Amino acid sequence: MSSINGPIAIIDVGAHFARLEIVQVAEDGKKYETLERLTQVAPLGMDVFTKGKISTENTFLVGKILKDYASVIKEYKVKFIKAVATSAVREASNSELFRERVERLSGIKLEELEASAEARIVFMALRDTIDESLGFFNKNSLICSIGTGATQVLFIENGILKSAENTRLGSLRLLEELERPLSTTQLKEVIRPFVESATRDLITHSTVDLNEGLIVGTGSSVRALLHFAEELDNGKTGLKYLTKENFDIIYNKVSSLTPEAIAEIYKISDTLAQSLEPCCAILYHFFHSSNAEKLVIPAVNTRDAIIRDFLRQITGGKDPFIPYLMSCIKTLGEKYGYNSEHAEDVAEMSRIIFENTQFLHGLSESDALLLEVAAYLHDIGIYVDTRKYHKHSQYLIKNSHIPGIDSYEKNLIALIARYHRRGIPRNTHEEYIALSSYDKVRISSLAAILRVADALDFIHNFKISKIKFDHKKKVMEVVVDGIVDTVLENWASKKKADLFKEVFGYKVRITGR
Amino acid sequence: MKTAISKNHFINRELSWLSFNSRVLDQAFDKGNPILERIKFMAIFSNNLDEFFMVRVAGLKQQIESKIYLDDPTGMNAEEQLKAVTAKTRILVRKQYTYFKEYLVPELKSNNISLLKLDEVRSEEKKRLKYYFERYVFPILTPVGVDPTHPFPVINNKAIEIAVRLKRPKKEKESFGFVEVPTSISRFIPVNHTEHGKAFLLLEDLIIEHIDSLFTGCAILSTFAFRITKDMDFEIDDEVDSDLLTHMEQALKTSRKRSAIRLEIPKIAGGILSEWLKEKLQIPEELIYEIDGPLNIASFFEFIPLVARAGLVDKKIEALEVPILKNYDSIFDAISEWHAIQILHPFESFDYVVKFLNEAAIDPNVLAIKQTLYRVSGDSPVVNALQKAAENGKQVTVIVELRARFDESKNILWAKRLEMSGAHVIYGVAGLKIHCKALLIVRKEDGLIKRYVHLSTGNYNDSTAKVYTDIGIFLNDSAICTDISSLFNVMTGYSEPPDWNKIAVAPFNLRERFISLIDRESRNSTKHKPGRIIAKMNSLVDTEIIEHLYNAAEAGVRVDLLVRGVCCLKPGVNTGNINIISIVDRYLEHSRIYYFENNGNAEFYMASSDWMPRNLDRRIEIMYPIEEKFNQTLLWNILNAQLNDNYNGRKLSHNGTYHKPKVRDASTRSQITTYDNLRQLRPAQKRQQYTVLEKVN
Repeated sequence: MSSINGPIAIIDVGAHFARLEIVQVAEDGKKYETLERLTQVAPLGMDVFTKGKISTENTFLVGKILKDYASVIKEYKVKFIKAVATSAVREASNSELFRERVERLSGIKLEELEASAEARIVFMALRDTIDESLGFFNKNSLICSIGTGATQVLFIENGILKSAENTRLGSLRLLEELERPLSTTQLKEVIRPFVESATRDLITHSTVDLNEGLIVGTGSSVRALLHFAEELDNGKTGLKYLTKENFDIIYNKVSSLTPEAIAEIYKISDTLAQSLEPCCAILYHFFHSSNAEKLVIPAVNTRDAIIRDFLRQITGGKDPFIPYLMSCIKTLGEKYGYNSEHAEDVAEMSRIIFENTQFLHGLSESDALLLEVAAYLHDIGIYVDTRKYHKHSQYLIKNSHIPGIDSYEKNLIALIARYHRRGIPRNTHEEYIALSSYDKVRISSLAAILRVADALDFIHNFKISKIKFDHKKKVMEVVVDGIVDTVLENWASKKKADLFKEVFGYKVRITGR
Repeated sequence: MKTAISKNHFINRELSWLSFNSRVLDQAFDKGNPILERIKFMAIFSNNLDEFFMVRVAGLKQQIESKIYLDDPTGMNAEEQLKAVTAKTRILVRKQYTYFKEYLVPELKSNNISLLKLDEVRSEEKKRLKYYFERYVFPILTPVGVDPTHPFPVINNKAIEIAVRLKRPKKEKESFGFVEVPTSISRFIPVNHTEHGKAFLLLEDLIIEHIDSLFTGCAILSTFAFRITKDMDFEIDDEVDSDLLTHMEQALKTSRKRSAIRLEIPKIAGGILSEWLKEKLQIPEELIYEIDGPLNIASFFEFIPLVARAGLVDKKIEALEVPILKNYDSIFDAISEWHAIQILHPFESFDYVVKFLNEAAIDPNVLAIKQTLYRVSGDSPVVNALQKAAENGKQVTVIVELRARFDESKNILWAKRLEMSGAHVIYGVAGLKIHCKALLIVRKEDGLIKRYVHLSTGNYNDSTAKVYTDIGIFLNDSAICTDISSLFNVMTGYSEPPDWNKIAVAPFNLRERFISLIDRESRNSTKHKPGRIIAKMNSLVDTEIIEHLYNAAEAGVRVDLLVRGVCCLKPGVNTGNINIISIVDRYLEHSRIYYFENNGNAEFYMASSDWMPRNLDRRIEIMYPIEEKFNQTLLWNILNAQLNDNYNGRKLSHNGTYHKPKVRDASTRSQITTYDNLRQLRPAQKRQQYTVLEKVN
């Protein structure tokens, strides 16, 4: 892991604010120190949730803010900058145009932080900060990260992330989507049924049993509820969780006050005050329908997780999220009734072949991860139908919410899975021709490896013992334990190595030991 | 128990200000001060009064004319205030001139310094003066006639004008004219060959003597010099309150006229010319002042250096070196080791601040410098250092508060110069005047960013640092550095105010913070362990703060206030727990120190802000804790010295008047005590040492 010389900058453009944080890693290399923290109001959320896109006015506003930020960044001679845009920008129909214009105005390139990446960040932030005594690591829990435009729901089993869902149910969006104008009483009447219908079956469909578990609420509106909790706690800050009764008291209090009164009493912004009632409605629904025992509102800061993640990326450290990603992948496989043993074998053999063929493909560790995920999920299409199931696998992967995997990566994984059988990539395939030539080569290489690995696993209980290369004859020889002649015959007829030969120029031969 | 606050708890702000100016005048009367220092205090008195008229009296007049009245906590309406103010001013001005004539002029004379009238000048010298007039004065004079074809001219604010009544040849009717006495040459013209030692003639007298040369062919019937003060539509001076003006501006933006507020004419002037002038200027009788002596005593500031010599001015007090800084080549190193180095100006040198900036300007490790500049001196070493830094490629950000719209040519010049050198110059924040004094330096040391700040109660002005008592502090406390970074981001408009770590910032949370500190003292106060607040500031005006101070006093808290200037809190109502002292001395008391006993765990704060609505609501001001023991000791000693000052301390009584100490004791003169304390304590300065001087009784 290399060390970082000098400060780094993180910009995030959310639904209400554009923020900049400049941090430096302390001398011990572990903690970081915040040097600058800047916040400016940028009400993109309102634009997107009402008009579907970001207005020109706000585009220029963000451009101006980021231009100012750029000059602060310059003062510190910052070399590493990460600038992300979250839910509002993500859901704006003119997201690309917006980001392009902002870059032109400020010189800062904004990348879109997808819901899946956000889910990963929320989970990592929580994992690092949540108080162990609450049972997060030995109970089941539901993380409910309520944003203004969307709510991330993460299912956790004994501290292990199992799956995540992203619902288009945000504290502000909820208000926008309900027909208005509504009086305060009308609002209360419609809000709860609306939340219920929007999140219907989310909990019942999950395999994670939340009975007597935890609901973990995050997001600025959830944290604002702590002002009310302090009253329950006589102003002490010792309160770490809310029981259903406590929560209901808070919900009633929120409902009994107008947003203006809340803003005034608790000295919070008006938009935040407005978001409390919908936020309570969402939490109420999850709390009561899950029959969880406690609602935990930890002091997590997703920016902190973004910063740590960025620091890790710069220094090239190992991604601590990978085990959780694999856990989610397995949950997804289970959802579609995959053969876990086969999936694991194929994944393992793919990895062995990937490593041994490094000199042929020159791909990186992150590509190996794409292959691994594809290996786990390549057969899930069978759930739909056995005919053309590779295409169903492609579809299912592409449309699943996988924390930590963005849509671009998901598309690649889906294609690798699709090409694990039948037709090899062709320039007539719509999704394939849309790829860059670099990705075409990547997909073909990884699919070629997956096909070989998959073909090797049609008989159980055997292991690859060695992989040898004859560079003159251009042959890759896979030596396996416990092989029988019929297998070899079968292998020859399957033509599973056709793509491998086409991509790498090497034939694949299997020999026993 | 809370007392309902009523008008009996307050002193009218304008009258309190006049009391302050009267204390300034007292210094001019104080025989303990050398003669030229007394002249200086007279000049300060006059200068203050000019600004008071331009802003405060103008404000009262506008209220009356526009019928838009502002609330006054004492319940006086604008008419009553104006009446009381003009009456009190009249008494003060009469005292001033009587004293000037009867004591100061003779005393100057006994020191061989004279102000002569023309008839006291020998005839051969008169010839030389005539030549001087023709050669240097005449070419720059512009006589203006007033007749039906030439309307009444615009008369400049604060200028000395000569009014002339004359008769043109072959014209039946008398006419009138003006000549403005130029300020581009000295008002004090040296007269040679006298038995009077150093002698001077006033420029206006010389012009009057030769007035006929300006109106050739006319018969001069009468002349006299006069002066008007006008209503100015901008903030004049930090030391004179002007938030009323800002308030009024909104209502009067369009209809605003800069009319004459005050007319000063010689006592001897009378007759037709004087009547004509009064009629033309339309100044009500109560705003006309008959002056028995030279007009514009404020201009005697320039007289002092012409005649200064040992014995006639204060003995120079050398600014002390700060011993702990002597051991370091680099101020950065000193701050890294000591963390918080407090410097008391003018007793200790302002050069350290300049040195710090100069060091930063050439230090290759320094990345950025940010500073607020409110008023700087003419050829400011601070500006020069910043310019050098910008030229050396540092990111220099300067937040400049332009003080006024008219006399800013000088300021604009240096600001432009900074911009040309590559600095990022920001001219104020919309709607908020920047009054905090902060300097932030970002430095890279061994790959890590380190920040250093300097905060002060005084402006980054090397000249005023020699005459104002201000306190600066160098710090590397990371929480405060982050706060100051954020503060600059707020001032540059780059960020919304954050949650501050250690400092409090107006107009965001400073008022709230002060109130909560005062209220905490009330809560903690018990019969056996009363709370204690000591606050030192320039002015105490804010009604809300006063209310909370009253409540604290009723809860048993001992409230000691060192308020140099305006104080609207009337002590002694309901409780004897509030003690108010004002100190006007050689150096202008300018530092703001706030002490809260906090149940034995005392907290000290310094601030750029007074307890005034304009500071708390309409300006960017900061308050920061002083946490290091030695620095606390220095502050504690200042507070105690001032509370025990039986030399220049004046105690405010419940009837709103200030009382001199019964027995005057020079050994308790707090500015001297502070200087002596520093000399004694500094060499022994060690980290975490805490020496407490005897407490006040």
